[in-house]
Amino acid sequence: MLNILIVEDESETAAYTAKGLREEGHRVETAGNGRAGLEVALEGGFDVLVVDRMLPELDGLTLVRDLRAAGDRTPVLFLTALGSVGNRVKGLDAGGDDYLAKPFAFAELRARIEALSRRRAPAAAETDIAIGDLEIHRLERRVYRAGKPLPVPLKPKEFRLLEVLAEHAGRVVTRTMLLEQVWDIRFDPGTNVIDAQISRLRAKIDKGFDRPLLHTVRGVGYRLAPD
Amino acid sequence: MRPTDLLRTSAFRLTLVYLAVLAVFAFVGFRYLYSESLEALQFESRQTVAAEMEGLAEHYRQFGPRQLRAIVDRRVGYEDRSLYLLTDRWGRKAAGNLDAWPDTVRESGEWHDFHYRRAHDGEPPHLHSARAFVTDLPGGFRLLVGHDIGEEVALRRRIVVFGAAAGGLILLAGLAAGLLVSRDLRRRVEAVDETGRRIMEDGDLSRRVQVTGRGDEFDDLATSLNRMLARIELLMNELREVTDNVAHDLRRPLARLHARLEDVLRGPAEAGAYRDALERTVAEVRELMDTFNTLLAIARADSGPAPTLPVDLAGLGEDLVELHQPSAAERGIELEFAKDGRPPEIEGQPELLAQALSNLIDNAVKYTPEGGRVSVTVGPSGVAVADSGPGIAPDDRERVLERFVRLDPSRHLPGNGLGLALAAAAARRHNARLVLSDAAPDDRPPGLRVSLEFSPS
Repeated sequence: MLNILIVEDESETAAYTAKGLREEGHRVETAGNGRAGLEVALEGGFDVLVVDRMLPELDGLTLVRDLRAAGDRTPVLFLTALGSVGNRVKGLDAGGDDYLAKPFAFAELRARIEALSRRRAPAAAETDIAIGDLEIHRLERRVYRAGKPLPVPLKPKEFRLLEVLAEHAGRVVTRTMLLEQVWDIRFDPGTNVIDAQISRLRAKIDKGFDRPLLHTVRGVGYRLAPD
Repeated sequence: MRPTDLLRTSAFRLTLVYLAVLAVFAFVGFRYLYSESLEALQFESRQTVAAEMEGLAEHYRQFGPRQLRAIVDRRVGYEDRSLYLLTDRWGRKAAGNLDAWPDTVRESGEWHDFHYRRAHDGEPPHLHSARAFVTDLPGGFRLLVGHDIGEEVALRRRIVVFGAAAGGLILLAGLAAGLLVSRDLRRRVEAVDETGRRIMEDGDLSRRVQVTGRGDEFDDLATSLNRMLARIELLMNELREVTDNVAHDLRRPLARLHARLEDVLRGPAEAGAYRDALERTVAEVRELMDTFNTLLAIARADSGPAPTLPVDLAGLGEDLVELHQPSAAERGIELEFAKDGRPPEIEGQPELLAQALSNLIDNAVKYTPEGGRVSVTVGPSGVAVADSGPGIAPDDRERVLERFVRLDPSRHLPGNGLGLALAAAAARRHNARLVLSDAAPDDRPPGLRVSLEFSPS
């Protein structure tokens, strides 16, 4: 369960989003303008802040800048109708951790919130990650399954793909998150591209083993987990 | 414009400062000139008096009072501009053309300036100015020798009057010039101001600031303002066009969505049918969102400033081929990357170029039948994507670059008809050309080759 603060002036979007996240078991608070949002955020205790870029009274960028200036490092996901590259860079420069353009699919938002909340945990920084009988040694860039090296070694991008999935092990990682984090791409590259990449990775890590680790979550993305 | 407004202009204030500085320097210079010339005149008259005094004193020492009196009397006869007074030990006048000691002359051995009354050339007596030296002679005699300094006084007065008049004239002329210059500057600034105000009032960006043709800094200012206005006008027009296009382009899918939802509502109220319709609607809305985003990307590529980052075309091509390879392989298509010479050095938007190139690769993979080949080649002129698909007839090549144009044989394939349009917009943004040609003109089918050719910079 995560403590989430949504700062969003459009009440309907805020209500749907909060409802969806509550149904996932999270505790959600909402604020309707920037000033109120900053006050609530400064009280602390949140795992993730979801902040709209354009807010009345205090815009999202200023809110996050002020928050960071006060020493608060809570992960921030910017929501915005301004989707261009320059705006995304501005948002990240202000201290945001991720950026999601409106309109978005709820599953995308949920996956990103969960990914952000895990940033606080050191898991992403660990040099060795184990998922079931899959071991990833990041420094040597080696992968073992059931104690043995993979029959077909991974290419650099495939290793990175596995790394990103492993950093979020047990959680859903969406296609756009993979595109951003593995290929640094923020557009849709076309039909099946990510699915085919995943199939190839799956063939290398799961083929020939009884228990698959790389799962497809229909319509949303992928999940690396022992079950 | 009221006169008080003119006094508040910065040009007029500068004029005042300039005049004040000028006045101070002119006054100091004049003062110096005045005292220098005065001293020279004074020196001259004192020389004359001193020489004469010395001669008379010597005469007295040699020949005694009687002879002195005689010589003084003689000189009085012909020296019109000289003054003499000799008195004996009792203070009685012994000789000279002054009747008594002037009031201000008391001490001997000193210089005295004083006024005296005297008649010249038959005119009635009036006050004259004189400078004199007084000496005590042995035997109780006292001698005053003086010189009329009327000319010196007159000259002094003329210098002062002339100086004051010249200074006053200069100040007046400066003030007048300052007012004229201020008015002129003010007018030209107001011309710029007026244009800005009008544009703000009616939003008519076709207005321009008047250029006088004098080629001065105001013309420079007006020219660069006009250039800025022209640029803004152009961008506004482009933006308007883009907005119109986007609105037009989205109307069709929205209408389709609307029609479907109404159709479901008219049908029987069954949860299953509703759910089915809703699922299709969500999928369609997502597609609509993609379309919308692509339209925005095209619009952004066509307007606004371009961030100029160095673009590594070869790296871009290689990465994208690697990204698309698995999906191409699934369709039984061989996708390969080749470097044929040194790629051009370009600056631009790497993300936009990546998206454009990705679209070209995706299209090639999509339209090439199973077992075909797609090659991405980076060379000196840019990057080219060639496939072994059906190709595009020369007559259609221009048309497929427009938004939403899909040729009949491809209608059954997924896609929104925006891929090539975006690539074309990216090409425009980078001053590059998007060239469509046959990949293998002698083969059947000829395949398609789409190349992004950068003009040498």
